[in-house]
Amino acid sequence: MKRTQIVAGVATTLALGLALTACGSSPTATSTAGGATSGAAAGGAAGGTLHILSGTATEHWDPQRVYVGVNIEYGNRMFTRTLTTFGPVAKDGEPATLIADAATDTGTVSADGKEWKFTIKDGVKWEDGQAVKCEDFKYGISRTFAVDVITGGPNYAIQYLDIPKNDDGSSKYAGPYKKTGQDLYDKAVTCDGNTITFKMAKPSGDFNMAATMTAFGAFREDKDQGEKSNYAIFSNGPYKLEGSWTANKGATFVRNENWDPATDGFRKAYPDKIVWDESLTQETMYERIIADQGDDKNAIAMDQAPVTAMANVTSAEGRYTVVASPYTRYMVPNYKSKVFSNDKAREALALATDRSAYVTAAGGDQVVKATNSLINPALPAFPNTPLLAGEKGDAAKAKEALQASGLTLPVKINVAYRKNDTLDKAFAGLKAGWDAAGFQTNLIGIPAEQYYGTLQSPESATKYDAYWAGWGADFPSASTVIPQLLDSRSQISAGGPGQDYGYFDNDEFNAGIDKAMALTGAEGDKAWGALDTEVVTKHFGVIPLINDQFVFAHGSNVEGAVVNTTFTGYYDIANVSVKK
Amino acid sequence: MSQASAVGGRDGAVDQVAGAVAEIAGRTPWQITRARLAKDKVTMVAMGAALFFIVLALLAPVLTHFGLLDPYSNHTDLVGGLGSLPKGPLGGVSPEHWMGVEPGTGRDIFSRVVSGLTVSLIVATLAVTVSVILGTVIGIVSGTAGGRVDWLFSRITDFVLSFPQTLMLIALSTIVIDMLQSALNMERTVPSMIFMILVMGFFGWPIFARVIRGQVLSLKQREFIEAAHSLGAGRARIYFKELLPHLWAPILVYTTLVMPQNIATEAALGFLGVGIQAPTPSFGSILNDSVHYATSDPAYFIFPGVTLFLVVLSFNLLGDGLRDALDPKADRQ
Repeated sequence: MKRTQIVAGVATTLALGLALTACGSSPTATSTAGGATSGAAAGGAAGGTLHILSGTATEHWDPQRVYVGVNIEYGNRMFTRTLTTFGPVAKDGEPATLIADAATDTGTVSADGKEWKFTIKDGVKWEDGQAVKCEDFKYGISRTFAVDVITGGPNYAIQYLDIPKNDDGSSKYAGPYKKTGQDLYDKAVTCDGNTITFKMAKPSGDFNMAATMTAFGAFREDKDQGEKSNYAIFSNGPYKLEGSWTANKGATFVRNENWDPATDGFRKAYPDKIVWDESLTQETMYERIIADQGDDKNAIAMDQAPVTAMANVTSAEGRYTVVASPYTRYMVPNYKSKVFSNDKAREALALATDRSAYVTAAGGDQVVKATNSLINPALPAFPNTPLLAGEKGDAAKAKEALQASGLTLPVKINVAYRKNDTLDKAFAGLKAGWDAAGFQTNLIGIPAEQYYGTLQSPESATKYDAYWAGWGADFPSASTVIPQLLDSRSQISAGGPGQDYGYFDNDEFNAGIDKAMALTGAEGDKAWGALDTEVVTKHFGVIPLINDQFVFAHGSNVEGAVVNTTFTGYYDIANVSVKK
Repeated sequence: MSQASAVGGRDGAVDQVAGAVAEIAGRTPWQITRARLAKDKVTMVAMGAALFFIVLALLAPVLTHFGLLDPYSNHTDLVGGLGSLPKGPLGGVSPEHWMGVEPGTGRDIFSRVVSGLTVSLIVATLAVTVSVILGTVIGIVSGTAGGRVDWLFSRITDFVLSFPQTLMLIALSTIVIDMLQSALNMERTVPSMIFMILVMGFFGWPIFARVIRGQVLSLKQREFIEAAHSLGAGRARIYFKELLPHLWAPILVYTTLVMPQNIATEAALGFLGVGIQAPTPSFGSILNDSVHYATSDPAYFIFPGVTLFLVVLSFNLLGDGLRDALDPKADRQ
């Protein structure tokens, strides 16, 4: 499940946004790619201290509990080696390849796609000098099943592995603490020397992509304190924690002497020390990086720049970058509302939608593009559905549709959005467009921390007529978009609409999802794209609004800071060095 | 109070001299007040400014209706670059946009500030009205009745005064506004305004009640009240016909002093995000948005900030000046 986060659109979850055409290809492909940016190709200077500035509190560092994309990436680069990972790239936005990390290769899958094998490299060690064993991976992955203790992380292990489920969808294995169903897990995940074998419930060709998440990382049983392990970082990567982690503040990381570069094909780990400071606001953090004084010269920004800081970022010439974000922001008409159960009313809303206001409010056309597809342009399935009535919408046509709906004009609608300054401005413009078409829009800004909870509560179905929402794919596949947002069978329950916030429920469409699921490659992409276009232009079940881009900046001494859009869409510190 | 009465005393002395020179012919309290005010240049300027703001606020809906003010239309052509900042100097100041345009939308800041002023003055005035009505009634009743009734009302006054007003406003806002909104079935702006008026009005009355009670306590010993009593006047007559005409001075003074407080409170609530909600403009929400652009577009903060400062200052100076001119002690000379 991936949606945009509380703080100004920071990714809450893994962002594997970009076209990943080369997954599974040679692990060395990236290192030969010529580097246009500074340090990456030239080889940076070893030593020094890198400062990471952040405006977002890290919720979890426990590898099995991390689901925020940026934390998956930084965690992997600093202290949690995974079986596979997405390699560093030489240029911003370049597609990264899937490479081996703690394993010798990116895994081998059996002919029927139901068994995956990885062999762990010799010489991969924990920070206390003990070898990282197959059993450590097996134990680490088992922790995901302890859903009452290990909360917040992705549950792909539960979905993928061949362990029977209870009627309510939970696994019959309850994790390593309760040990209920331990024999089932021991059958699904086996160790033979250094080789770990996973048995899949269904044939799956992309399990080695899921394995890039730290949730599939190793965890040593004797270091496991359950809930208390949340910030107790125990490293097997190039850096280890000095002292302890302080929530909302951060910590200092120093070199892990037991990390052997010979076992690591891609982490350069140039700086001797990394100081993580998450006590800032996004504005002050960018002010400091732009001012470029003292230690801030050696700093990189973890979060993307807020809209208000964008204009100043341009003054940091050569130190900022603009890259595509993995998200699509869209409107959801509520099928349970009196107004939008009416097909013509939804059509009118779609026709009257003025995206230009949103584009400007979110930072201008350099960083925001209007879209009419739910699937992000970075995914191969992106259908690029043309806008129904241009960027500004067509109030006259919309009014005709609304008059044809049989509703009495003006039609009162309650529209909910996640309250922040940018969306306040964007929705003022959207409201003007809708009102011109005969709606009478009442905007309701809901505080960020309650937003998605409110959407997903059953009471909202009768309270609001339409909602704002945002979504990005967990994998570079539209199979983590369309079914997650529009498959009524898996989403809607007595407890609420799941991610199908508008209660879109169409049997024919669901059948289309099943068909697309069975297809692979380009055919699958075409099927997903067609479904996207269908729901947008035929049912008006969602109204895609915009795709935005992220802006990042770093200090003048930092070299090799490149945004890895395939992995998560944030700076990749594998090759970062600090000039002396 | 001590400072005010000292100033009042000085003015009183001046008046006595003036009175000695002029004919002994009686002057009405109005004439005395006007003469004093005319001499007080600062207060006259403040009054002019306050009247200007009031007229502007009253005209704003009319001007908006005729398209002379336009707080809602986006001008996306006037903003650009990364972050959509206004083009041109001082946040896009031009003959069409006197205070420039808003970053991110290009909406006219002058129109938004003036519309915000309307909202602000409506809330402040109605809240003061609620305070005055409650405070006067309670003050008169408390002062004339005396005894247990007086004790009870005085304790209630203390109790309300000790309540943290701003905290109550913030804590209750979401729930109460939601309830009002579903009850009235209208946009959030009106329920937000009603909520602020009621809460600010409710927490504002003790000031009036105390002052009125004090006045009534001294007034009720006077001969004309006793005369009314002995002629068999009813309570209502004594309250409204005999006492009330003598209370207009303190009511007027405290109204002008509480007004700027209410304007500032409304702005503070908007700043904290619990006041008037977007897209309706208000001082608070404009300032809240503008502080994010403090370095990239300082004019966006300065224009609305200075306007709010001038509004509050003009009402404050006017209040002070009126207090000097209408000093209740002058009545008894």
